[in-house]
Amino acid sequence: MTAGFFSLGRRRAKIQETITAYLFILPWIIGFLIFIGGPIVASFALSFFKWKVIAPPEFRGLANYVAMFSGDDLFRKSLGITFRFVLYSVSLSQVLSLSLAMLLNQRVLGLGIWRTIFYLPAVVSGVAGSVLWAWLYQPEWGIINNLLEFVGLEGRNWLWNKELVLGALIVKSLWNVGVPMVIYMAALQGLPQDLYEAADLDNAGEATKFWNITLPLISPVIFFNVVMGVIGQIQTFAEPYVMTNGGPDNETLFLGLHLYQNAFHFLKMGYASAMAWVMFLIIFALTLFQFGLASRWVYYEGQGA
Amino acid sequence: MSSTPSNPGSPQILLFGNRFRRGLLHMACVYAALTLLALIFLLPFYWMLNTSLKESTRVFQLPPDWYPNPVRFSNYIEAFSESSADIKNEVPFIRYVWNTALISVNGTLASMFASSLIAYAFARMEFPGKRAMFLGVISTLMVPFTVLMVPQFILWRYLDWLDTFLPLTVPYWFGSAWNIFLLRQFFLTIPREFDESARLDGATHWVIFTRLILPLSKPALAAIGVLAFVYFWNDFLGPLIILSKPKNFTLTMFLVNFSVAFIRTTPWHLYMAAALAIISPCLLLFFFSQRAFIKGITITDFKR
Amino acid sequence: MAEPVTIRYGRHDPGAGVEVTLESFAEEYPQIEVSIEVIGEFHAKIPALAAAGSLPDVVRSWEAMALDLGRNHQFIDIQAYVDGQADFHPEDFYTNWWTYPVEDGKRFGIPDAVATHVTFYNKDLFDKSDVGYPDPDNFTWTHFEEMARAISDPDNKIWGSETIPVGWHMFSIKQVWQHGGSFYSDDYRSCTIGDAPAMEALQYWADLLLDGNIMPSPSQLVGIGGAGAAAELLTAGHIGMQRMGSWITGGLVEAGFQFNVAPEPMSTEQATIAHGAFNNISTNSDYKDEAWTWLNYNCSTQGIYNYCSQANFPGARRSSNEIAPLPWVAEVDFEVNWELIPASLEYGRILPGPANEGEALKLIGDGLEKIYSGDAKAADILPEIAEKVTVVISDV
Repeated sequence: MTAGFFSLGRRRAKIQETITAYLFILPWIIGFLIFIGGPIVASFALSFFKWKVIAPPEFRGLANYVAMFSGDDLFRKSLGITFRFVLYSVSLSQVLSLSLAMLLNQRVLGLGIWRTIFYLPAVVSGVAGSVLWAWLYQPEWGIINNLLEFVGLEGRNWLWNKELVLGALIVKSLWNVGVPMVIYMAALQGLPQDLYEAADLDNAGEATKFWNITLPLISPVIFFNVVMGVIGQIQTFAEPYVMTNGGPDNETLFLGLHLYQNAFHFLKMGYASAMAWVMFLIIFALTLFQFGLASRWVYYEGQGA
Repeated sequence: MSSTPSNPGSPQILLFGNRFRRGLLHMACVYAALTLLALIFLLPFYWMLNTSLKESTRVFQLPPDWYPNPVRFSNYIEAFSESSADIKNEVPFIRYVWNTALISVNGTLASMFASSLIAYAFARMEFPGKRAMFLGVISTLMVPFTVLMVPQFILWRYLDWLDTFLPLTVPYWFGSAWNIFLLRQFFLTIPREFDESARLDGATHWVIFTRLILPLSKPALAAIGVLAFVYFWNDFLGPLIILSKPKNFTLTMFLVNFSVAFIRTTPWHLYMAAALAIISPCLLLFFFSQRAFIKGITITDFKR
Repeated sequence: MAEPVTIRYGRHDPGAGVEVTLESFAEEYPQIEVSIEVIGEFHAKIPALAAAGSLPDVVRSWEAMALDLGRNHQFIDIQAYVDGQADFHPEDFYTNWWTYPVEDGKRFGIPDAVATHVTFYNKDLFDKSDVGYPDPDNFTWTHFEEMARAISDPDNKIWGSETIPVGWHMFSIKQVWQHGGSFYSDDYRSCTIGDAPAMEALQYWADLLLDGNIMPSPSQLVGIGGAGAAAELLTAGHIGMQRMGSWITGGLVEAGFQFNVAPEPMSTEQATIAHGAFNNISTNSDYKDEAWTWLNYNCSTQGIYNYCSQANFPGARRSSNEIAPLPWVAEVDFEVNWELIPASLEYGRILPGPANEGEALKLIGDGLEKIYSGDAKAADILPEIAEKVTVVISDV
């Protein structure tokens, strides 16, 4: 009797919580249905058509998917390039942005100015930043070659060299660590000081404090930055589009660029849509994998641990 | 390890510091690292500034000048007076600033407020379909925009929103995946004991959200605000696809039109001047707002 | 009086000079208001507008795009409007420009301006190396190479020839034309880049480039890439000869050296690139008659001149090229063979417009990049590429 009463109450509380929760996320559901859902369904449907965009679509069944895996060498090549780029770019930028955030967390003089300097590149993202870096890498007028010549080294044609070009784009991506850095800074500021005070009383070294306190506490934020870094960098487009146009010899033909060229330069929108869905599945699987892995290393204060 | 209290004036303490003070050597390393990194980070800007102040005929000198000589500040005026995205010359430059500010401020406010509510539900409430729904939110970031562009464009046309600011403002009030995810992660770092005790005191989710979680998340909200502002201020593809009439243009569109407005040769010095001028509001915003989100919240205060 | 009608005129640039035409049009036709739309990222936005049934009433678009949009019924056949316009004078247009936007008897557009490539040369660099100037009546690739070698001094960053920037594959077509070949057959149904003349011409350029002495290495001039983006080295005094459109004269005037003009060098044929755009009326327009009124006005002798005089290149109408001051002439205090610029319209060839041109160019460009970087010989890869391109362009 009593047990039944409690479970009834618990169930009612549960129902109430569900209703409240759905009310909280209602804006997103409405927004999704109106603005995103339709285009997503449309692009999925179009992946089974030949669509020149400027002419009506023609149904082609699975032809686009078959062509992607059997006839498009560039698709495979762009997959490899994109993965290599994401691997280096995301991991190196986590190291760099977290290091910067920690350096800036050291109560240095002129903090505001330091922080602004490191954040600065984030405001020159996308196209403008790519134009700037094409200008920096320019073999004759670029500052990079001129600096190298100044110290007696020979400059290179960075963006026209098959071995160097991907590295050049990775370096450029590291310059844009402002966003993860700001997120790390906010996370570090939110850390409870009492844990550090307790560690100080135990005479713990800086390294110990970093590995045992800082890292676990900000692991949800590291997780966010890595997941978002992967999702964002896989879709890299502006840099190769502006700086290299995919060259030389397609060595910077990122998936995003291959997709864009197919969609708008070749007007093969159906094929591009099919590619986008394969790309989506890859990113989705990677993200699921990261969520699965997360339970092993991400520590949620809020979940009681 | 014995912790014999050392004399605060000893050379050892001065160099390496103790648990209360960071030593000279430690701080010297910090400053050295910061200076080196800052120089690398600033180099591209120096080259931009250098180019932006050169005389047009000296831009393509070989080897290039390491500093502008003579210095031409008038490039900054010329950049905005001589190039125009509007051949009828009916659109004053301030209009582009206004358009950009409108889109950016709306986007900032929308990003800060709309997503936190949704993020709270994902961080603090249990309901059926939560995991799937959350993956659904993040999934929207995974479909390449390239293939959504045309269907979305057709949607805007159907709504009669083309060449208006509506597609660039309204959707953000329904939450955006990036912000929802980030805020959820931040909310998860807040100890659950706080709201559990509040729950026991009979507080509703709404009260916990507005009175407890939001105040504790100020640094994260401020960070989102700044990042959103910069995103909208610099957004390029969105406005470019949606907007057509020069009176609706944003500053980035003005910049993109730069090369085609000058038919003869690309005026790199003016382009760099315009680019630097256009990004400067973002820098000022960051510089002056950083206190808001850097000011740490000491959770210990709440525990007592 | 009837309500004024607003028509939309879309183009890729703000179009300096067109404002003069707009002003007088507004006076003559107060019932038609022309609203300008500047369409950035042309390749993406034009198809999007077409798919949404929302193309501007009048669209100004490039060669291949005009044909492709026409073939796919996005532009109307305007021949009837032309025939009904008594004062139109089609014979005033250069013939190749007039006949270009016509397929299966349908006319999709009217040309306005034409940019042809000629050779600009830095007389000071020729004098310094004691090299004779190019002879306009007899300028071959043999001459070009000899002169370029004599002028080049790569250690001091002086090169006899310009380079073709990375990705500007269309510039290679003139090399092929000048040697008697082409990229495509006349009906655009097969790719002829695997034929002997094309392969010889492209390999010749690759050898000049790989020589490493007479031109700078191909560099990244993409980015903001305005129309004159490739001419900076010439303007800065580092290039002896640059083959480029006359739009660069404005910058050359300030360059501080004496320059002159010669035709493009020839091998077996005199040929050069003629690049331009067409004004078209979209199928979804609700005001086709008003659209024609504006199109006709904008493509009149004076309308074309207004735009050309700002852009520094000739017009597609002969009569526009007789108005003083001549658009392509820049004021300098030395002799320049300006007359060679309009003369090049007579032998210049319009950029080809096969179906699926974008994909075809990608295949060709990938091959050219391999040849220009020395990874492959033209004869080894181009025949196979030609077959692939033929498949792509015959899918009309």
